[in-house]
Amino acid sequence: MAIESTHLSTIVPNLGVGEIADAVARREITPIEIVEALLERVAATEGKVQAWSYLDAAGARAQARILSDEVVTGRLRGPLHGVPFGIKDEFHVEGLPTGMRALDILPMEPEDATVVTRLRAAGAIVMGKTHMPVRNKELPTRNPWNQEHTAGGTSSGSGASVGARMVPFAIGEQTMGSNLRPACYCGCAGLKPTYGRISRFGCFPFAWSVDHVGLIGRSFSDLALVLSVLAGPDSKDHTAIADSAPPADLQLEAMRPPRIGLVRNFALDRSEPVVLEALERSVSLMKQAGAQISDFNLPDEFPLVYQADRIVTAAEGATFHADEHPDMDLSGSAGRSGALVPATYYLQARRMRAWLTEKVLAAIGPLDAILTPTTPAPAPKPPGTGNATFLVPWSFLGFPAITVPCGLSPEGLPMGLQFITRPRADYQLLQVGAWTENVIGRLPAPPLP
Amino acid sequence: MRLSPPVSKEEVLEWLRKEALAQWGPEIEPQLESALETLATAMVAVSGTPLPEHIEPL
Repeated sequence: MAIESTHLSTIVPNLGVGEIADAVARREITPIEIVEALLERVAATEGKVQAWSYLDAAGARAQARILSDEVVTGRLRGPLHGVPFGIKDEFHVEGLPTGMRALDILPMEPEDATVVTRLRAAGAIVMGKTHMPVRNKELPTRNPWNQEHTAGGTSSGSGASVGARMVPFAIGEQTMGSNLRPACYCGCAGLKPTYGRISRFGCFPFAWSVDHVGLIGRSFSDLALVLSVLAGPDSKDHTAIADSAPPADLQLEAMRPPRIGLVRNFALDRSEPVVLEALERSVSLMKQAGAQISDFNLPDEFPLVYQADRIVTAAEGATFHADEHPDMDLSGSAGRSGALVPATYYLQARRMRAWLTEKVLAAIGPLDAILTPTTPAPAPKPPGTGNATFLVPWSFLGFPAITVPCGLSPEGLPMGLQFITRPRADYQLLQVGAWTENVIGRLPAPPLP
Repeated sequence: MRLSPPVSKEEVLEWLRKEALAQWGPEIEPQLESALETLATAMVAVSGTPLPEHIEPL
């Protein structure tokens, strides 16, 4: 693929992670040209979308110039050399503030989160921090597909930045549904990996045992490439699992059509007709392409996941955020109540997590994944940020989950399919995502300038 | 608050209100009251569900 330099501003925003990295490696485009083209895209769309809490244009240009010089000397740092990304304002980036600290004067962080360290080492470029709600203030971020609607939960800025084609991928975080929901609402591919699959070091906590670093991109091959850089043990995070990083190549040519369980007793009766129609259409296409799709029922005890989650999340949130400003999200009234959870209840709720994990694993059995809609409805209008009901259980249990875009509502808002599988099978789940994406097709670009 | 035998929502809520007043009195604002209701519901569910003895916290 040769890239015409006169059309960079229209071509670059539509390139994915792998396409940018390949073009840089082949010297068809330089990192500085990529950053300039994306900054132009930000300038054209940010007024409508408002994805960035701190756009670091100067820093991105400086990183890109160094990386461009390295290409000239024949050096490529890694598989993401010259690929820009956005990162939720919950992560530490050296020299930038962390908005989630919710302080009147935000200090510049002295060091990078592990995800940033690994992305920089692979050659990626920090474009800036993406919006998340701070001090219970309504987010300015709007949906790239329709600015009257929300972009999702706390990773809204990350979802909107990718959906609006400002960056090819972004880092989010999910404690309830806040990575997959904005990914879904903004028409993106999203991964909430297995708990501990990506180090949380340098990620400002909501609730330690439920927080997950998440990825938002435009394709599953892109997400696999980024995961291959980010996964792996980390001495700075004792909950990071020891497995080495999965390969970047999803090897779809060697993959058989997946065996999927369509969850019947949990999500369908809570979903709006427009979402059910999109689900049925997708299932039909997947069956035609050879997928084995059978009805699946979650264990009868499954609804207890919400009650156990409330106790664990509230207690952990109230512990970390105990001394913060009273209008901080988690130490407002709802968060403060977590301080009253007795230790016996906290531990019993965590025992319930182990028990429900056993039951769900047994139910999934030999299936490659189970399937629900990602959200019961397309993105609502603010001040709501949408419904995380179908996402919360997998954050609490730590199972990996993805969202695959599956169509647009009559109002032009994206909808998604959520696939879930057993812990540590993130790679196989991304394969399912890529297979499905190929079968049902990708969404076009949103109707922005 | 005991974990077993199972607790009722009324007794958990009464206990939570008492603790909240002791910590943050002199009154419980509506937002906190709503959060206590939610927490009480969760505590009742956890208290009322027997788990196999081999299960450890995860």
